[in-house]
Amino acid sequence: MTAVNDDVPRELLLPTYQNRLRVIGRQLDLGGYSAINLMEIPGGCLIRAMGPGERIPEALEFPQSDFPEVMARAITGRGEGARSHRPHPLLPTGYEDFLRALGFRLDAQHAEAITVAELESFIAVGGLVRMEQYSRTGLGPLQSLLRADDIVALLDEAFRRRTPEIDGGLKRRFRQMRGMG
Amino acid sequence: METATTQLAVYLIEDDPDHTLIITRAIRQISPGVRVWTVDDGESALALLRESENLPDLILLDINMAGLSGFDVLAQVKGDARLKLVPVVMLTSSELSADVARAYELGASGYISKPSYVHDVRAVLGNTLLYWAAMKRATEGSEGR
Repeated sequence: MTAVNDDVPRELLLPTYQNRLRVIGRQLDLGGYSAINLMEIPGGCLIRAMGPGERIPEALEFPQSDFPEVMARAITGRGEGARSHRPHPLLPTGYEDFLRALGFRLDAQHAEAITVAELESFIAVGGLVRMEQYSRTGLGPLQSLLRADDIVALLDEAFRRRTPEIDGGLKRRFRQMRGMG
Repeated sequence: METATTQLAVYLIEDDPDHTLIITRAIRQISPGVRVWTVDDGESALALLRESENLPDLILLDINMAGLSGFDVLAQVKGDARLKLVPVVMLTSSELSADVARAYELGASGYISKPSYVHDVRAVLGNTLLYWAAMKRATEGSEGR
């Protein structure tokens, strides 16, 4: 067992979706993966993704037991490692930003058993979320198709939450990348 | 990581016997406890689902079937108040983005593509376990109030 660095803020070691998906996203960006299909299973996440230059998808495993160590490495090695992610029209800043922002939303919705599938025109997010009025269970299916504008809004919201002085900066950058502004 | 060790009941709706065999073997390899019912056409599958007292935990549904297509079956399942909570995962031999996108738009929970059968089946079974475990906890919690 590896000791987790004491310098890592405790809140980052909580196994929230925001934290767990963030470190997964970072690994995906560093590995240059694309076209991800993520499914949460007992004990972690399984992901099918295309590696750089590959024509057959790779199967990746992210056990939850590895999460504290991977997060510690991510924090202590922040800024290191070449990001080789290929810009996807839907995700201009890569998987880490997107999955972190999505994770925050999923935590707020008390989501469970999540799935994230990246397609050409949208990203499909599935699972269960707490629904106060939904039948007697209190849980109902989550099925959200995030299109380009939804993703921009999600990322902008996350950037504003983290750096309130940024006002629409990402949106402008995204529109520029898409030749819209 | 754990794989699906608990018993799940799966309906496999697929008209290609080779694919049926491959997927059934993949399921048995990953989790021998999973019970699999195979049906080779959409109409029979819908009739069976509507008549059966116990619903499956998961439906694996081929997109391209003769007769009622996977999309037709999916739309009917998701439009049925009794069936709509059952996760439906589409089976596709290609990753035709338009097909997969349409399936999600109709309410599919995911898709399994041919080159990744074993990995995808493991992921889908594991995710289905989490799904029903959460539903069960929520139901028990709501009944206990």
